Amino acid sequence: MHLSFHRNPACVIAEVSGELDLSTAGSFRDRVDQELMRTGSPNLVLNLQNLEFIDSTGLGVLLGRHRQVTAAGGKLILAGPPPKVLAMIEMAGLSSVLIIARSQEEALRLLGGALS
Amino acid sequence: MKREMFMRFSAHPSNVSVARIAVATFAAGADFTIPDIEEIKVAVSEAVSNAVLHAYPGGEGEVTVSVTSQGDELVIEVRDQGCGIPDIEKAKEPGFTTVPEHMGLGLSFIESFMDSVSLESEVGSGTAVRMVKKRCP
Repeated sequence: MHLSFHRNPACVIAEVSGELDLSTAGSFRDRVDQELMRTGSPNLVLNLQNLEFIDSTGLGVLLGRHRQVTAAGGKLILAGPPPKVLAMIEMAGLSSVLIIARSQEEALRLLGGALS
Repeated sequence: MKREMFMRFSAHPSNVSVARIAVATFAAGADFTIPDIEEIKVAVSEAVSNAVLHAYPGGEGEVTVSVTSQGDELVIEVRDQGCGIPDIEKAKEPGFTTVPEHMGLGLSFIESFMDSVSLESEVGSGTAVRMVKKRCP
């Protein structure tokens, strides 16, 4: 799993690639939480475009970030999940809970609309 | 032709992906399709993750994975010799979990992606998950 962060005026953008499972979920959670705390940004866009694998552990950590961000008054948007990742999100019943955008650009537009 | 593979590894999170990739490679060699292999990867990931997370609370232990391909069937068995599951019916309930930020959907995903699943467990002796995937003709 590779994770990189980019700062946007409206949010933290986290790009995650590789695999999100039991071996990587803890590191992902800790690094995302630290970045949100460090920047003080309430909003988070998770770019999943290059995520190759996710299981229920990975989905759990996504839902955990959603709960954390929304509890702090912010929004989490998942951007560009590949079809097989999107299928897992839908199977878990999370597509009605999480905000999903087709791309990072669309996520930022959604966030901009929500903030204006 | 019957083909078999056997793995034994420590119950450590880093071995979840090792098991998943090894079984996926084995399934590819048995002519399973890419969509089937993706489903097998999720099922193995869930079963091995459950063993790593729950079998050996506070201690170390081993997980074994055996895979057999014969005819149009792939049979995968994930086994531990850990604490066992006191209430299997409860463990099977979608959404049941004892671990924070976990969804309790592992067995549900396995049941969705595999053609048949059986779960055997004995408190103090361990747990075995047997999963079968049939190759599409």
